[in-house]
Amino acid sequence: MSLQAVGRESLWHDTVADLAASVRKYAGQNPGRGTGADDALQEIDALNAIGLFDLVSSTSYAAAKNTFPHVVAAGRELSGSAAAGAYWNVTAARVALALAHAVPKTGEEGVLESAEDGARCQLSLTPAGDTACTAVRDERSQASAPAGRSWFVSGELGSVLGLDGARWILVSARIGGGWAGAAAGLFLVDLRAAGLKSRRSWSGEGLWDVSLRREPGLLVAAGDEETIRGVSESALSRVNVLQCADLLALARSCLTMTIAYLRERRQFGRALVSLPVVRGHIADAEIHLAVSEAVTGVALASICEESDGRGRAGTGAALLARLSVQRRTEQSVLIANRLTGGVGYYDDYPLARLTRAFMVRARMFGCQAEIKALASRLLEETGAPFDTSRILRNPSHLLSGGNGGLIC
Amino acid sequence: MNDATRHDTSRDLLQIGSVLGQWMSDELQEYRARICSFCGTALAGARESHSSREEVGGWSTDFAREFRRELGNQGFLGQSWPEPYGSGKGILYDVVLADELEYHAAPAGVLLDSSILHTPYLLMAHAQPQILDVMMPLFHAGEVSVALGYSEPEAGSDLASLTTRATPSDRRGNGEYRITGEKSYTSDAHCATHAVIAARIEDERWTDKHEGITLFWIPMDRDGITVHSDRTVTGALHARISLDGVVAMEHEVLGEPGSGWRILTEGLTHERAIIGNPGQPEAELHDFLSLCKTCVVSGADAADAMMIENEARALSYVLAAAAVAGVALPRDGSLAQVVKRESVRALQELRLGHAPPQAMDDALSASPPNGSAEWRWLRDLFYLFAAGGLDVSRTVIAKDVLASAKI
Repeated sequence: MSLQAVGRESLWHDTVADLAASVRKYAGQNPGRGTGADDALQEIDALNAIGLFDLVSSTSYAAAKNTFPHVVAAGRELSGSAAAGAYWNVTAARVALALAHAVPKTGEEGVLESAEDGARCQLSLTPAGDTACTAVRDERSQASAPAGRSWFVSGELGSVLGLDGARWILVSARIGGGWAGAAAGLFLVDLRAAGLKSRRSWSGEGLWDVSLRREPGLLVAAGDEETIRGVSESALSRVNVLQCADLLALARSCLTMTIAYLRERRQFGRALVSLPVVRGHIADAEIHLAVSEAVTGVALASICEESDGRGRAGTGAALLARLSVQRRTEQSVLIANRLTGGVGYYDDYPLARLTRAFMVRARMFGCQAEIKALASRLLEETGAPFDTSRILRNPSHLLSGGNGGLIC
Repeated sequence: MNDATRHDTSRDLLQIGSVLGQWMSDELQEYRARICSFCGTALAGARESHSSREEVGGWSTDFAREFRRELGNQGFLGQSWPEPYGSGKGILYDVVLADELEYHAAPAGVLLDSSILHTPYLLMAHAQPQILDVMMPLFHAGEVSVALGYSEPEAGSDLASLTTRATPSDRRGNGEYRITGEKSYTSDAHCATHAVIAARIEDERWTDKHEGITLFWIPMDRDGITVHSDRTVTGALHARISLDGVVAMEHEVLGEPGSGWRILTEGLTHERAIIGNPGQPEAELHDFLSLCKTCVVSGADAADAMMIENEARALSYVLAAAAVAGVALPRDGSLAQVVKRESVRALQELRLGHAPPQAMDDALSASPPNGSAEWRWLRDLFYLFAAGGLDVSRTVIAKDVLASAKI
């Protein structure tokens, strides 16, 4: 279903507009939101009460696809609240699960439903393709497979976001132990398992390191290399768009807050906002955000054009959107900090909190170098990774035939 | 975030998405394919025989004229124009036309011939019927070439300071004006059939310098017009004109007398969409990627190049969609200008990062219009100041942001 069709069905107007209004109202009533784990949990409870997480609770691909634009739009309303990180992560994980649900699995029907454990059923997704984990089948549970806890997952996970209040973690792991037919899988691991160790790596924004020592995990998606790659790629595409929206929300909040400050603050006998050089900076920040919004919107539309959720239609657009948005929103946030001067630097001023959140979240799910590597590899493989609208000419003929080449 | 800002930021999600389907319509794709095929055929082999070092666009004036006529013969002109003058198919058709012309570096392409993509709309919005009845069929046939006489030696970005005067020929008002002044940076004036001239009418009613500016539609063969030229950094010639008592009839005033500033600053929605077309960024991307045939290109550079082109493309989609959806903002034209030109510049610099030391020496000897990246880099310095330049555009953006962010 295209975004156009989604618009026709008025899902936005019937559902998300009301939801967004509720989120906005909530945010307006809680201007002094904190940053700690307790704050996040309180916010998650409050947001759950107004139905925010219902929007992302679908585990079928069709439902997830239809509501994805609205998930992104509603999430932007949170604009850097303590719960925003949790929202984006639970959303990312739900999307991955929905995609996994669309592929043939080993038959663990009912697993996903059991994972939905009320308000605190929050998931955290490890960076796709960045797995240092392995999974081996638990031969003791062979008889009860595939519905039981039939796999052991081991490994180390770094920079996991959103574990506060989470019940499960979704792990991408290489499959070992001679299990034929699959090289990787997505596993749900219960965070309460005895051998699972987690510790905060940076308390400010809730980054965690997680150690798994042969922890029981539930296989939710597996297959050959191509199948699991398709699932991971599609999940990562959606995560990239979600992250673009998240960074946009943070950066837009920074700019809005900064403009308010510039109107109020007077120097040299006039409001700062009246200085031409300040206006130039505001324009630059707006340009960065306008471009970021454009690439995010187009990537979102490209993803929604995918027919089965496992194609590569939106992969390139999402990767390039990620590259652009991370670079440009960061520039916009830096401008906001520059314009607010010392006032923005101190921790009790909201801009400091937003900036810190931004700098952490901008680097989740792959740094710039990794995203560039993926994008160039896609260019080499397909020739035109970033346009699904049949508008762009495929440049693959340009990439070979002489003495040079593309080094990915 | 306040409601105004929220409206701005939400338009990309669903309102824009609802128009993206139109970009993919079979009819528009077929139209694009026809233009692409036409350009490929018409320009094949033409570069050798019709390029001109004297022309800013790189094509001889005779070939450019013939090419525009052929665009008319092929039915590519007027698809977007409202009926009865055009086919009424909407803005996207002209965006696609501009996109293909730019991608192929066609005459009227990279410099976006205003006689195809700007002036017809200006006339349809503000010209008298007797002008429209004569001119629109000629525009449709590709017979008209237009120069824009706005800038002056002492009035570029600050157009309200222009000194060109339009004086009623007598105080009884017999319907004629006499225009006198100097216009600079008047692209294509040496080969134009007509010009739009901005001149000030003195009247005691108008005390603000923005008032009194009036636009006139003037045939270039009228007595009193002299075309001069100045050599540019690429070696090409660029035109400027002198007006010495040039007669303009009352019906040749566009809009009301004194309304010129409003017409120029309000701009036209379609123009914003057209300016942002991603044809040149795509061409620059392909030029960069073609380096793979002769040297080693890093994946990181390729990713950067794709990212830059994608930004220009995405913003083009969004601005065109916003125009179609009726949610265009005053800052959109300036956004298109800044992002597209800076994207092209960034892609050219990536390309130049692989250029040998003698590249800039070779720039002027390369054969335009498909000449070297270095030649294009020099040519496109033009956009740093054209149409108000990038800093004026930033001023417009900031003004609009501050007007909408009612915090």
